[in-house]
Amino acid sequence: MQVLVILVVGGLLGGLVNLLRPSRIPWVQDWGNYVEARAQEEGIEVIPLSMALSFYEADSHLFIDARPLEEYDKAHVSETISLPFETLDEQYEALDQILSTDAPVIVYCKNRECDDALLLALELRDMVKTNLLYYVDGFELWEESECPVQN
Amino acid sequence: MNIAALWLAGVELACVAGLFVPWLRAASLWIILGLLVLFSLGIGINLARGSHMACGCFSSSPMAHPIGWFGVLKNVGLMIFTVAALFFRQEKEEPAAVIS
Repeated sequence: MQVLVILVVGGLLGGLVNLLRPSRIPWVQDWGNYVEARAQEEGIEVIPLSMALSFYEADSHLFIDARPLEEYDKAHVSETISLPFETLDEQYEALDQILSTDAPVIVYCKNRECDDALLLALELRDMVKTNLLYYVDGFELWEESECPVQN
Repeated sequence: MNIAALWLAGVELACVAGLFVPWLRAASLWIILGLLVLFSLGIGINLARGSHMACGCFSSSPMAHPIGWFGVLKNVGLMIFTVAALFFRQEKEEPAAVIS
């Protein structure tokens, strides 16, 4: 009986807090379509900002920017290769550089809603580049968190 | 799925409050134990699947450390404390029952 009291009061508390908070979260949300969920289904290893930054500081991984070239030119993660997914078929030089290196790669795009980096990761994996990671938070969060950026 | 997350957070809050109310203390401890088992399972399953995301338990910062087996170990430690609290509570009650 006491357990039931706590479970019911807890539910009411959780609901009340969500109603009162300014940044309310939706009661129901489909997380299955999120890029991160799709990446995990495809077997692509997903990493958050903290890990991407550790790898960047260790200089152990090659970073690849999957965003359109115009966005890359405005600003990008320092020392990154631009490989826009939309023009992948024309990027022979960049592809050659990536496929000929043994260094593991990290692909990223704009933010968590953008799937260009995931699609690029799948293409690279098909080209036998298997040691790759997908930095899911994207360039927006990298820049907001004041991580190293090149303009 | 968000409803479950909100409900869980509310239950955690209610358990904390319940620890200060004598007739809710045991129930709070049992629920806390159950939650620790649940969370440890969740972390373990995600680690086994190769997920490196932060659990968001103590921080929502993007710089929060990803989940790791140390988190599971920490939870096991907390489970031990919770079981000890339940056991100690029962021992305290038994002498009164014997006398009466």
